[in-house]
Amino acid sequence: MTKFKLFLANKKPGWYVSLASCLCALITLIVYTARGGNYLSPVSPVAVVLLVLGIVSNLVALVDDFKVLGIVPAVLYASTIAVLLNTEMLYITNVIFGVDGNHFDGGFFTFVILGFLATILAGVAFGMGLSKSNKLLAENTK
Amino acid sequence: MAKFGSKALWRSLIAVNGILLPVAIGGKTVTDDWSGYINKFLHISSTKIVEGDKNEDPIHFKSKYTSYKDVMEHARSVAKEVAGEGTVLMTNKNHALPLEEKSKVTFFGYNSVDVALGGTGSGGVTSSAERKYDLKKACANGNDVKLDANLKMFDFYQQKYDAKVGFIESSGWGGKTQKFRAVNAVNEIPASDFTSTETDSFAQYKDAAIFILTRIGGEGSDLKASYLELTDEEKSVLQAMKDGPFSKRIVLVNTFNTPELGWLDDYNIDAALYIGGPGEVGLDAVTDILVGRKNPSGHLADTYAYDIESAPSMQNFGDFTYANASDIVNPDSKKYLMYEEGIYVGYRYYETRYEDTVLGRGNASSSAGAKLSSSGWDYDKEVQFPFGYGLSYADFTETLTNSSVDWDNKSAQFTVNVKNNSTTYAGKDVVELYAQAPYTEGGLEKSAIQLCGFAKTGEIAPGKDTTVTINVDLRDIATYDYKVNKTYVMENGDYYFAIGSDVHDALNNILAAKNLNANQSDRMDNKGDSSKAYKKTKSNFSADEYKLSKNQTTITNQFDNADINSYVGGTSEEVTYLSRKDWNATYPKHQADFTANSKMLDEIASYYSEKTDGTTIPSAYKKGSSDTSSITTGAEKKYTLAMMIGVDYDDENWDKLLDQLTIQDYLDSTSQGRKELASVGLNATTAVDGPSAWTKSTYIEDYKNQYNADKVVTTKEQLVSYPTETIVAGTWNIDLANELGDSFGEEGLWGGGVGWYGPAANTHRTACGGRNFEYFSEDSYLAGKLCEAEVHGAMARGTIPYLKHFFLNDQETNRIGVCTFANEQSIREIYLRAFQYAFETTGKDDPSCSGAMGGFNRLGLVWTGHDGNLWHNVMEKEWGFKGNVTTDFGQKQGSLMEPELAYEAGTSTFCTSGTGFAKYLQGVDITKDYKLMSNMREAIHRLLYNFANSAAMNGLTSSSRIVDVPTWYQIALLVVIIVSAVVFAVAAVFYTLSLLSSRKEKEAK
Repeated sequence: MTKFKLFLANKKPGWYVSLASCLCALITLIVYTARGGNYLSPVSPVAVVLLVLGIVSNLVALVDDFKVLGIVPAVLYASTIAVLLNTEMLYITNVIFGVDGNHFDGGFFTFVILGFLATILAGVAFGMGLSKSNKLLAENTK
Repeated sequence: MAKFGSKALWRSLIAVNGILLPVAIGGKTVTDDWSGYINKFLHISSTKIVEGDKNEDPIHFKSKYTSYKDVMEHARSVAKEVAGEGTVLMTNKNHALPLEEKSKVTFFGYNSVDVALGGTGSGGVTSSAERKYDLKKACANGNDVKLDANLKMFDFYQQKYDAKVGFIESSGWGGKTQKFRAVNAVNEIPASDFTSTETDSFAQYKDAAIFILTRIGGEGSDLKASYLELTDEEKSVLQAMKDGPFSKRIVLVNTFNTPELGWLDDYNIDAALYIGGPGEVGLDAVTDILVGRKNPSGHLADTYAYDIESAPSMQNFGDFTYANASDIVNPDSKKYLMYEEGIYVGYRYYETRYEDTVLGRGNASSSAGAKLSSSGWDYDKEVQFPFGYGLSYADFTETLTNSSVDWDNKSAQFTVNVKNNSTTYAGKDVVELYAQAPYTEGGLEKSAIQLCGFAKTGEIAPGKDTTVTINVDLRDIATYDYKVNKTYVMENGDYYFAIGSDVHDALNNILAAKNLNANQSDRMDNKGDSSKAYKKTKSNFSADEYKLSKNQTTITNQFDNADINSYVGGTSEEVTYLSRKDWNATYPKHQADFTANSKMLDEIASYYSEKTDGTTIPSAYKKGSSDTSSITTGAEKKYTLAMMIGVDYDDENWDKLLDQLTIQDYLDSTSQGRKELASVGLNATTAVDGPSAWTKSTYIEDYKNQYNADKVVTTKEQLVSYPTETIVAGTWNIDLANELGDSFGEEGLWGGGVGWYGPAANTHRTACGGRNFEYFSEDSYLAGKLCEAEVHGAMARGTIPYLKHFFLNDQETNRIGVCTFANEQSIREIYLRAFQYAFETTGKDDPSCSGAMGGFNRLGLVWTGHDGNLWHNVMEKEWGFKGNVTTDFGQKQGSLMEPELAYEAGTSTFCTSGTGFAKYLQGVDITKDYKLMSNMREAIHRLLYNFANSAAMNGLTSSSRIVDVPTWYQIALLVVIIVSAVVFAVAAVFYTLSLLSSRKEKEAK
């Protein structure tokens, strides 16, 4: 418990932002896969893999701040968004141009909004830095 | 500051650009792929026309109007006219209607505050709220007060509406959503909720109580039969109307399907009006009719049965899964549907069975299919309003004054005098002409009666008369013999032609001409009038007489494999089609748990490739030679598409133009939302959904300037939403349908687009079809003739109508891939004919529709877009069709829409498909398959031919050139990519250096 408290004591606000980013990405993954796909809005294996890798790297960064590589989750989340932009375009076009009278469903809104949020938060977290300096860390862990 | 700058700065730059870069790359890809649709959405263009010969007029299809407001006003006037003429007065006891102007009326029904103006989905109403007529506005618009409506009742319902009382809840990701109405859910407020405020108000507004009965339909699902019945809440409201102090009780039937209305008498309803989906302005016409400003002249385009399940087609409607579905590898082939009722759809069933009941043959009076008949089948107990029925405030007498039949020329002509006996009301009358072909027991199936001609008169003043002439093409009453002669035949015997106020009246007139009348036969429900019927005997039968189509192509069976008996004939699973020889024994059975045999399983599998990445292809496709060197691509650009305007399809110059195409052009042509084909001078165009509007489209300020990227000025005004096609059908007015098409075409020029996914001509096979509101009728002749007129109107303004959903897509359940089985007689006489008149050409004055959209369904086991017999043999050869063929919403779905097979069968393009098909075809490398590439070349030939003769050519002259111009968003994305990549790299380097520097400093310390 003490170790955990010390662990948290050495984290910057950016760490919590990163944690929020990770949670958003996790929910995005769950909603995206659980929503299932159809011919308009298929589940993209590439997007799923990128998202999983992003979450894993995010978790790793939360445990061990690996400095410049801390941008990796944000890049992976952003790449997921890029893939989704392409795979969801059929659905978006279908809705916007009134073909078939489809509407955006709650699941779509959820994973799009949370996906963007995860990406932005991951970027912000990296910008803020996740942990205090090594020196401070060393003092705290004495 | 640190040696390599602030770490925080570098981290921030890395963060921002690390996100921007991949998103911008993804954005660039997607905007490149979908530029056609994005440009349409943003009202911009990625091309510019470099003008050529200034003396040449670049506007090939001209508008009659100079401002979009005039176009809109005209469109609204047409929409109102259609609604006014398509509204049907179903009952009018003691001349309850019309009401006096400014009568004090009370509207009942929750839907009175939000009348359903159209269906949901692609045929929905999308115009702005300000433009829509609701009931309040339709009763009193400014100083123009037609009806003094009880506002307390409106307030009562409005309060419930605002509080979302009774709204239909649906759950999904993201929480619950609430809708005022949904298919299969009725949201009526029971009369028990009325307080004294409401009930006390009745006394002041008692001239009439008007109930709004609303049922909707929409894309993607069908209606449950129970949805077309009254709910307990509605019954309570009707009872309150009955018990109230009202002088008259009226019902407005605001439905797109045919509801059960047997309760009208139970609640002392004096008058009922079918108002369908009136569109944005139609309610104004409805209140005109209520107060007598307009005399109703609509007639029903469907039969109204007391119990909609009495139709034999209802036995095989809905969800059917093969018993051995697990053995079927193709995921979209596990469902089936059998049209076991054969040709006996709608009135063809009820009226034929009626005649056989009268004549005492074929066990017609047995109980099979009887729902409300007490002992045996009884027409009057089963049918409430026959097809073609409709009342007027006037009283017309029709007299058949001249009749002639010319067997040799396959034509007949009938002259009808129509007298308006009214001393008060002017009005229009519908003259309906029906035919009966001779039936031999056990012989070819024949409907006892079928519509073969109709005409709507002009307005006839009180006491005046007019004469109309109806020409009949005898091909329209020929019988398709799919078993023996395998073509159309006209058998010898007595042919009857009769006029009548509706189909049943006409049949009674024919029976009277056969010397039957109500006095002699207790089975007849009314005495017919033999003077309204004409008999002509045919005695020169030849099996070849009707085998040629109008363009002299031999007509023979093309859909043998759509008949389930081609797979199971002679086995215990053989399906028996409904037959007049024995109504009882052949009445359709519910074909549940049908087992696909091995032959079917093999055929299903042959159209399926498990992988959709092009690494496997269906075995039904045999690849062509790998040598495609004889197909020229990328030739010098000497020709432009504008040079080909009006050039015959078979002209050799097309080849020269097609030679200019690049391989990329071949790929780009796959998509409806495609890019321009600059190498041949075709600008980018898109197609927009219908059929009741150019959905979600807005007007532009000046149609002549929309073709240049820099000059387009759009407005926020949505294009007009017209009444549903059930109302168009109710007009029985070919000229008005043509005017409606013309109005669509005008709107196409002023912002709609070039391609219009409409009209739709599938058949009201049952009362429960989810998209019946998009289709005209249960009758193929009425549907076909109105559809043809609408198509011609639109094409005259340069629109390419993609007539849909071709064909046998008559229900929504399992529409994607359902194996639909029907015999060729029903296919030819019912389901194809509704489309045939629009697709079939007899010359320049009767052009073939320039577009078609295939259905998602299968004809038998073969998806419509893979069926070469349909597109090549019927459409092209028999009917002379040269239009664009698009799929329904395009997506390679494994079992559906295999591009190689689709191109081979005659498909030209894939609806709204982005670049999915292009990428697929790039993957399979079309240059390694001569057959595929030549099929694609022919598909592009089709596209170019039709675009050359459409409004797609507006803005172009024969010497103008199309030049790509990057759009602002493409430039912006490119800049973002470059800048973010550079900044990201620089920031990463400096951040790393600063980290290393810091480490060294620490180590030094």
